[in-house]
Amino acid sequence: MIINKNKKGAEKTISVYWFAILVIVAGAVIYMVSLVYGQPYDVRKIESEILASNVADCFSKGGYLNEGVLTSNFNQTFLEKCNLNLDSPDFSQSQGEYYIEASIYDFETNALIASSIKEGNPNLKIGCGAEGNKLPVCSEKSFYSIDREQKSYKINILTIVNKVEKNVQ
Amino acid sequence: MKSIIGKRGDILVGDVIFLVLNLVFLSILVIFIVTKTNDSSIVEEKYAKQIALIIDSAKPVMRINLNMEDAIDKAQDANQNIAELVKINGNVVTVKLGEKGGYSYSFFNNVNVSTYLDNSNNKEYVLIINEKNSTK
Amino acid sequence: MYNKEKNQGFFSPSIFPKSRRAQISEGLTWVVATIVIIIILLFSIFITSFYVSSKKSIDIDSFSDFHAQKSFLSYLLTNQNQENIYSKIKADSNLNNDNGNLALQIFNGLYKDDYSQIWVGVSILGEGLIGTSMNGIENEFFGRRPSSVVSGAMGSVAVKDTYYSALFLKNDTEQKFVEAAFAKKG
Repeated sequence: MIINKNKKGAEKTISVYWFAILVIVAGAVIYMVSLVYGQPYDVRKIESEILASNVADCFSKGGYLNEGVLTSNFNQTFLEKCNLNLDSPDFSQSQGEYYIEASIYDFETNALIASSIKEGNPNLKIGCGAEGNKLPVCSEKSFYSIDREQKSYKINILTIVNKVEKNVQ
Repeated sequence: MKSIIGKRGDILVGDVIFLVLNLVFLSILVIFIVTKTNDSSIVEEKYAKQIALIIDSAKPVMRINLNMEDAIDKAQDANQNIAELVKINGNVVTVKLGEKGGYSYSFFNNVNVSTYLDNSNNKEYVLIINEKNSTK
Repeated sequence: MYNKEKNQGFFSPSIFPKSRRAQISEGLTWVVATIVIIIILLFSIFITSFYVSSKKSIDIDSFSDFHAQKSFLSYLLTNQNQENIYSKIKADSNLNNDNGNLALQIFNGLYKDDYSQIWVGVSILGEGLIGTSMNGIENEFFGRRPSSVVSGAMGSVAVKDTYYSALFLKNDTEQKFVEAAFAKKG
């Protein structure tokens, strides 16, 4: 009788323990599946590179600086001339999910030729170079170009893509 | 003898309940995993972002054929009209494979984009990139 | 209730009754099993989170060198002594003092922090171990062309971790190209 009672007690304890193990394993599996399938794709790096490339093409194509780039009118109509639309209607309460800054320098003297172009949300610039998970992605590119009169230039382009809600969990 | 028969009956019921609970628990787990892995929201996100990036890097005038066979299959399973999976409104791409849900992603290239299902194979979507305010 | 073994001396094989020994052994097995299971689960979670962080971030390396390619084209179109650099390199089949120093100024000046090695010079299309390959002519400005990787005959090809941009020069005894190579860091 004693032995039978002990076995029943032991079996009940083991059953509870068994379900506890099942819950732990199930919890871990659910967490891992949620991790893999819940995490969004982060495409902001390639997006900022494409944006930088489009801006660069707007400044210089075929090896020569595009005409009108050094005029003040270009600064004012930059988005229109470069076929860019920085609105993001899919981010309802956004102050802007992009930022573009472009500057042209004399290649020999490194002097700033025209005033820098700044479009988009300038607050995003603070996130560049900072450590952290939910920060905007920045892309900084420089290239050499000449105009038709053979004057040489250095063009710096900074592009920033925020869109944290749709790219980072 | 009588006492032995009674004890055997108790053990059997206990074991059966134990097994059933295990099966129920594992079934719930498997259903969760299958639901998550077959979820169309991942495919919606994938194509919305892919199409937005394609439009961003495209120039007018371009025609791009994008194979969306897996998305079309999922939409067909959900009895959706496969000709209306991808919609472009302004500079926002929306991919919707079911009655509920859908994923939107904006692009920055200021171009006119039209999209339709390639009826020749029903596996690809065609993107036509034109200049803004173009009637082509 | 009464157990004979209880009355055994201290140095007896066991002071615990057999039934209790079995229960302790069984209990210990469960504890060890639980610990092993938890360790395996934590390891799996760690591997999964590592996999997710690497797979869900989309990046295409070959796209990011457009600026170097633009600089290369502008460099070749730059005039020196009433002649563009492309024509001069084509005539000389190598860099000279003027265009070599300008190349250093442009490419090392703009990209030395972005790439582990930069090379600009003239290459000859020849036969390699696997198909055709570019054999760079060593020059005093950039040294030797970065270690051999098969690159395309025309245009730009991003292979492994080195990006090449090449323009056809001439085809006399050999096919020659003016080429820029940018080897990525890491």
